[in-house]
Amino acid sequence: MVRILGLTRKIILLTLLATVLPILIIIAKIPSVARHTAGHLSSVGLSAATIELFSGHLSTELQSMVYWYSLYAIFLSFLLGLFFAGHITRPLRKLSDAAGRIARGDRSVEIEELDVRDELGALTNNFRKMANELDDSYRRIEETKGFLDNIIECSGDAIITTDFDNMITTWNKGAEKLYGFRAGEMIGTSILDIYPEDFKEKRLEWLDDLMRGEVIRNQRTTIYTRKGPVNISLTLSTLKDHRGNPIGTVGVSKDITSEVIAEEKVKVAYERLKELDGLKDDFLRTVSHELRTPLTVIQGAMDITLDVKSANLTKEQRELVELASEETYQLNNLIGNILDLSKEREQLRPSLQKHSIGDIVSEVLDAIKPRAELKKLQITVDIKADLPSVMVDRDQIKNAIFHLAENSVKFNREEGKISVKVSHKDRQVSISIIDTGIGIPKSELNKVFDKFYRIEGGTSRKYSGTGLGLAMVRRIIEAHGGKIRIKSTVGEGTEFTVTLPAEEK
Amino acid sequence: MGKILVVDDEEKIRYIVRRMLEADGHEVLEAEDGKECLAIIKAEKPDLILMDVMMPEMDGWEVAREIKRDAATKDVIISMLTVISKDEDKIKSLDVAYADWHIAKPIKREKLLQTVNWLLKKPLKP
Repeated sequence: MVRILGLTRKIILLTLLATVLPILIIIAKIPSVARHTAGHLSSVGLSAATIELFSGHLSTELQSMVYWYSLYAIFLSFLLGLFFAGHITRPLRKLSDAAGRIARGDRSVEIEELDVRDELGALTNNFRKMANELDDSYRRIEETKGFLDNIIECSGDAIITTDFDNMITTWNKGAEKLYGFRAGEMIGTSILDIYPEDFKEKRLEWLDDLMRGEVIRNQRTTIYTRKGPVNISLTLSTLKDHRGNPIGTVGVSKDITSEVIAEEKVKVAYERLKELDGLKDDFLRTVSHELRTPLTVIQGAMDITLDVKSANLTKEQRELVELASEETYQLNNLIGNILDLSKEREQLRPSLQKHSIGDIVSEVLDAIKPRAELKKLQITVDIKADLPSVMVDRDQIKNAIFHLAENSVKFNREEGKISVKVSHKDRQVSISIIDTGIGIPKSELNKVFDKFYRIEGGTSRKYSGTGLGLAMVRRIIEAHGGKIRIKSTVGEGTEFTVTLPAEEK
Repeated sequence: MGKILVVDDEEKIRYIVRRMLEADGHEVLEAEDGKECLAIIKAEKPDLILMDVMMPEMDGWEVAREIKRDAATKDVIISMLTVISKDEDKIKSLDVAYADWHIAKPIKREKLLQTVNWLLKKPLKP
């Protein structure tokens, strides 16, 4: 069903009124005219047929009546139209005025609510709603803008925007504070005037990068402000308009003078420390070397004294010299530990090259073989053919494997076994070294790679070393992107497995 | 038993090692630096050299390398003798200086004799 709204209804009604009214008046007048004419004619005794003859006369009279009443109707319509037009245009004109004012930015426009339930009322009320919404949005935008402006103004960093002709467009309080120049002095001048020499040339390159959407981060320099030289760190990014077109740059400069001074101090302190550290290492090396020579002599002398063939000692004397000899040996080891410690921090920087892991393992085994023979150990080796090569620092990896192999000898029992396997799977080579040694208790397994770990209790005296070995091995393996795993059963033996990433074949 | 050359700049160390080895029946020669060592090798042809690493002028590794490079002397068995016992040093002894063995100080009489006798028994590197 067509819903006829109030205004449409009004128009239809008024139009109907304007047309129908005169017609009704005409119709109302016709009978009296006819009666008058008919009466006049009958009075002279004419029949109805005769009257027909006068119809021409009658029709002329009717015509002039229609004419007059039509004029009257038109006049009436005109009056109604005038009234009605006024009725419609008045609120429209008001709306138009209000829209004009809003367009000019006047937001104080008040539009009264119309209590009319026609299109005009709806239009007015909707317009009013729109104006209010607009006002709200404006207020929200202004609040946000004020908030952002506040952040920019309150920022301790200098925030400066420029256009692509290097002209400064904004200059915040932070910039005023950092440079000592007011915004009024700076806006409209070239940014290059305040750039240090080294940045002037770079800015051209930066602009190219900025146009590509890159951000120039943390560029350090020294600027000369009214307060003297200041170290800054500058971050530059592209300023875009609301359509996303680049229109200039935003630079945030941070005063890093105190950081730079602190860094400088740290650097000096570090250099000094390094120097002292080097001195300490030299000192330790010299001292331990100097100490070791006499200790070796003392120990050797006692060993010779204890030698059955040449000695002529009482039981008590022998016990005392044995005690002294054992303690000297411990002291000597202690000095060894200090020496190793001073070397421990040396950096591991692998220089990677393609190597055959099979060859490296074979070389280690060759080197370890005599020692194993001393303990009458049986070594079985299973190095798979067709192994992929590895990218490793040969010395370091050899060192690490050497250490594991040496452990398998050191902690093995007399006439024990060592099994070495090298294989590959899923782009990894793995090297397993299995011994039949004393084993490591489960509770200790996760500690063996810690620095200074040594097997607990009585064994530590029996097996020399600083405990740095396995920590070092793990560092080396991990520096190569590999892994080291350990499996062990007390009294049965230990298995170390090293995996290293393999090269593509 | 063999003819053993002990190279060490410390006279006392040489003395102790000499006493230990002689007690075990070996013939012992001494040299106090690399230069003297090279001269003695040519003249005496020892079976085994026990070489200190930290010596003034030429270090033990350099001397060992010299010996192994010379066709006339390369068959002499060399064991380094050093206070430095890091694995890198052991490897350097065996790899870079082409020495045959590496004995870490402190020297234990029993261990030294065991190692020396075993080194003299058979050649290590083909």
